[in-house]
Amino acid sequence: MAAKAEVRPRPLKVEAIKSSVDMVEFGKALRDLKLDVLGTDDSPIPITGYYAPCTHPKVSSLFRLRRESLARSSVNSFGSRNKCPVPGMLINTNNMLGFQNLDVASLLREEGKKILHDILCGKIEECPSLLLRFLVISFADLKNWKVYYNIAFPSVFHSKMTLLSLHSASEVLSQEEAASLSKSMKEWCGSNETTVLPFFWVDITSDSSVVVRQLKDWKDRQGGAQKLLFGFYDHGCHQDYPGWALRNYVAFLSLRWKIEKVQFLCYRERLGGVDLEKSLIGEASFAAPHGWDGSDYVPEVIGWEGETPGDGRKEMKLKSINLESLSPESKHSQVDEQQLMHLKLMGWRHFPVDLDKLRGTRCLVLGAGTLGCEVSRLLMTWGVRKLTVVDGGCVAMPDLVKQSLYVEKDCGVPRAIAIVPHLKERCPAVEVEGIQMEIPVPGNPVSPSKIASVLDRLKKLVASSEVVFLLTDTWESRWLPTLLCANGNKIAITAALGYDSYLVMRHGAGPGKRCGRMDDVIAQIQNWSTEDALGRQRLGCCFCCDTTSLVNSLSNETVALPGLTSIASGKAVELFARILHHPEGIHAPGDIAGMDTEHQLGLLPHQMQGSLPKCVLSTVVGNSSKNCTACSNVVLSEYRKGELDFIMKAINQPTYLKDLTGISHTSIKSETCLNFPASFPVNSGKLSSVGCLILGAGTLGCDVARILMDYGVQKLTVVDSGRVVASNLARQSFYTYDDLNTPKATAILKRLKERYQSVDKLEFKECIMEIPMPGHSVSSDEEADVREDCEKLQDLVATHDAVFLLTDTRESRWLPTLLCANENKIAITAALGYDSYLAMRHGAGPGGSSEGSDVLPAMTKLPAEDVIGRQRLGCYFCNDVIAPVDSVSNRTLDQQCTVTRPGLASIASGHAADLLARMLNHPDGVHAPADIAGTTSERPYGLLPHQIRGSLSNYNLLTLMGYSSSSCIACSDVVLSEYRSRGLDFVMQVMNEPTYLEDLTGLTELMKSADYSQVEWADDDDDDEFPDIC
Amino acid sequence: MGGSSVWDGTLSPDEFNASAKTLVTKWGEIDVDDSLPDWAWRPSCRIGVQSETEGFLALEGVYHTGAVSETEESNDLGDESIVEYDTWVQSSCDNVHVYDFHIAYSFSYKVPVLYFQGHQADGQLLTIDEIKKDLPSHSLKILSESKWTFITREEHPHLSCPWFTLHPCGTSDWMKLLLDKLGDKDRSLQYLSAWLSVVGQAVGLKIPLKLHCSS
Repeated sequence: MAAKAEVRPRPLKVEAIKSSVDMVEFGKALRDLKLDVLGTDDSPIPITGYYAPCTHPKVSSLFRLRRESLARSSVNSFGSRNKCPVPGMLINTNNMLGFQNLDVASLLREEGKKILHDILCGKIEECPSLLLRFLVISFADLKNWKVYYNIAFPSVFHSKMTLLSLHSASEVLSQEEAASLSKSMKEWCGSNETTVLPFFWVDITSDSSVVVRQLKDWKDRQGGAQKLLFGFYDHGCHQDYPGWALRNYVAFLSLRWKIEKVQFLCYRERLGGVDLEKSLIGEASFAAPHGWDGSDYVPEVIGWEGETPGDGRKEMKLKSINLESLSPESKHSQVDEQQLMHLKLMGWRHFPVDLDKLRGTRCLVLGAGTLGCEVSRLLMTWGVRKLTVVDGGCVAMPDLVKQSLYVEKDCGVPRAIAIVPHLKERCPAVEVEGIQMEIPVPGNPVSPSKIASVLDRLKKLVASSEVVFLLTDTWESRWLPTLLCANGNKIAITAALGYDSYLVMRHGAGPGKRCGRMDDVIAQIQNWSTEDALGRQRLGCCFCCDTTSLVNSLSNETVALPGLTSIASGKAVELFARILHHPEGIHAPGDIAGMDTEHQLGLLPHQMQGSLPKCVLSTVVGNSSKNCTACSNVVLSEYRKGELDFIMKAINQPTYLKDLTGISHTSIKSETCLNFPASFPVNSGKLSSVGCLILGAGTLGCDVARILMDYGVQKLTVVDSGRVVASNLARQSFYTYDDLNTPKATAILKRLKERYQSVDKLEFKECIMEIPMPGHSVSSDEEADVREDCEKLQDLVATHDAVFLLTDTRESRWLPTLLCANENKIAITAALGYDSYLAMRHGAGPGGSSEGSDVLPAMTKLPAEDVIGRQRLGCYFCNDVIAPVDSVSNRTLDQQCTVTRPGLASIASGHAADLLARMLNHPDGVHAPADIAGTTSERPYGLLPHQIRGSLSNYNLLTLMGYSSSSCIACSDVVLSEYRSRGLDFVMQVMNEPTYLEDLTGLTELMKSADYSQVEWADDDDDDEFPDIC
Repeated sequence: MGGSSVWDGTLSPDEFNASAKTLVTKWGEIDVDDSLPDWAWRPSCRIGVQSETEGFLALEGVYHTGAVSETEESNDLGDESIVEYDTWVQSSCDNVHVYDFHIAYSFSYKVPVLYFQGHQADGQLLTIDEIKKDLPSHSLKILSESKWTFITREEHPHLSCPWFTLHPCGTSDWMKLLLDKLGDKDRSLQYLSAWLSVVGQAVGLKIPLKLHCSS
């Protein structure tokens, strides 16, 4: 065991510290910190590591990072010698590129400077563990559950130290000295104050008594000790080398305390006490380099873990932690956590979502039809985990296209039962109960016993829920739930569809009491005021404006334009999230679009009404009517007097409610109720023959594909390169737990086919491929593949009639845009911001091109007009003044994951698909001029705008029109003619030369001459630039 | 000495705390096996505030060497021709597993519960199969034969993440047998030492006999 006796001085060689990062716990703590606290902030944060002296005969102690490493320092104030807290710094970057770009050498130098500074200014005496200061750089790839990191233990002046001698302590110390050293060290380690201090000094007097002292006591030192040892906890177990900590200690001792030859003691343990065989005593000297005391002196530093000694090369191994749980039981909770990640990410830049509140809210969804399916799914996307779905009907074949969750084999199964597994497979953590129950309708007599049982059940359901969604397909069936909600003061949200218009509203609070007397029911009822509990005028319910009151209209089957469901559902859940986050909840006053609000989440309207053909969205506030058949005081008090009797009368006597509320006497005219305009037949012949190419099978892709099917589209090709991951499930409407890791393009087709198995006319194709993108340069190895992809895409565009651009980055839309303009195909773009969306159709390609037999002359005369001589409309890129570049690698996590409000994608998809239907119905098709909202159109299907931009928080819907720009990087004549003459060579050049497009189109010139434009557009760019991702 | 009522083998939270203190002190006084560090009392932290009463015992950083490779020596071959840069040697802790043991009180079973987990030197969590490979054969025998020792993964009551644990369902029964003869006071003080000397065997913790012998 004895160390070799050293006679000859040699460079001081030490044993490196090895770190051990407790993978699951530290990784998880870092993940939570990043998601919940840090957000996009990547500035350094303090962190604590744990150092220990060697305790094992053959194993050096590890330097550990644990879950409490990231906790506040107060938590780390206690410890023991086996867990000495050491201060460190963590730099956690936002993405891999940032991680790779960190200048590790200069970061380490900075740390070295800090150590030198602490030595010189005396901080070390106060806090000796600063000598062990460490640095962690990391990138927490939360999406893929990985953490990449490197650790450095900076060590200064490593080459300037000389080891003069080194012996086992047992050889140096006399038996008496050894005995008293053991005793003193035991006391040192037994004291709470000193046990965590890894550095100390030892006085051995001539009578062999030993005193162990703290560094801060140095100045009080009385001379006369026979031996002086500078001790430190040594993590290493090597008999020939002291541990890493020695070097900084020697630097400190000689620079601060001016000790020329340092007698050191490497403290190592056995059996809970000092192990004198293993512990080393030696002597080292340090030759301070010239200028070390200068204020800006930078010491030489080494210390990145993983650098191999010897060759001096700076190559560190990248360490990584896989956070993906090993045990299956926590797999489910991980899936859930991944599904909630996008909500947490909202807090990074926008409004922090109250996940606990959402998770704890029980939602009662009445109706599991078109709206019920969409709303239930979107509620899960919002993090709602408790759902009760009530429906009385069964899944029927014709409904499949409209009701987004059901598949063909559900036909004939009650909807309330069929919906449960479909929700579960998208979000395993959801707790969903399906209840098959027909809600009684006024004017539609039912037996008293049935009413009694239904009423009883419904009452209990309403009472046990926090929010009630009224999504049944008739107006009348909402009456009883509305009454119950007003009575119970529950949040109620109604969504209703007309043929091409929709209404989404929240009901007002129930009536408040005038004063606090609670004696009996009658007294309470008399005390009801028209105000709610907060003393505000109550907002209306969905019956408040409805004077026609409850005519039995069960026969009217709802027929609505396909995209409408998605739009209305998206708005309904948005309204839900807003109420839940509003401090006043159900009592919140109704906002009107255009108002200012100090509330972070934006406006909280009372009613929203929208119309597809008119391209309008309006917000309305209506107060509770005293004649309302569902929520007025007179109805409520009658109900409280005799619950069942009253309900029975209302349902079995057609005029009872009218007489009670006096509606039959007053004649208020109201236009609030939905009017059902004469419907125009969707030109399904055209739609069924049109071939649609969907680029991107993410959130938008799923919704658009489904809505198109609903419109009767039968030929569909989906292009995507990604695979389904857990965080997709709740947001991307088609994918289920079983689809994990399947390519999206395959999974989406499987789901589409599953729903329409028996329809054999359908022509579905998948194409798993990455769309070539400008700015993502292509190496010569990849070139052949990329060219092949380009050709594939050319072919796909040429063989389809309409192309949907639904990919997740701006640059991936460039090539398709160019190809569509070239082929004069219909191209429709949908893009999402955080709470705003864009749906637009690209203009037609330039006219007069394809006819010429000779290519060259045809190109030179590409006109600014399209074939029918109209000015061409713009494409997605026409407003941009910068060419797309690689926007992927430098994104932060929330940008990678497309943080948008759940529901937004549904709305955008609805508008995008609707645009196609309108274009196909327009006599001019792709050449149709752009309409602007507010104008009237004599065509039955209404306006055909160029761009629709909407914002959820401002409740506006804008129709914009822009003409094709002559310097557009995707559809301008100069780009098109270049493409036509050079083909793929041109495309490859665009990929590889970032500025080529800008130079070609003159944008470079433009930017030089007018820098204002860049500023002007920068904002806008942000808006529609976070597109949808996988 | 024994009370008239029959003791059911359980422990109150206060008794657990007192017994924990006894264990910590005793552990410090006796010579423990080669490489075991000390047990320490860890107050429970809720929202960053340390609890006065609640907490758990922790024995952290127990190193287990499967086969320590002696290849380290090769690093020293070049001693004579050290270049200036070559001022350190790699640490010798590959192939090492680090174990952490916690003892927490189970309010539902009213007995102590052993939580543990092991890491590879790089921080990778050990699976139960890897852990079993580290266990001495007598531990494996206990694990496979005794009814009271089966390992599950459960949420650590103070850290809220899953740790391996020996299920506490049989604990009170065999503790009753073990300590039945003692008086109430001795019983609660010696409880943990006695309990640990049994439980430790199952997970390969070498608990010195002295710990259980009354001092």
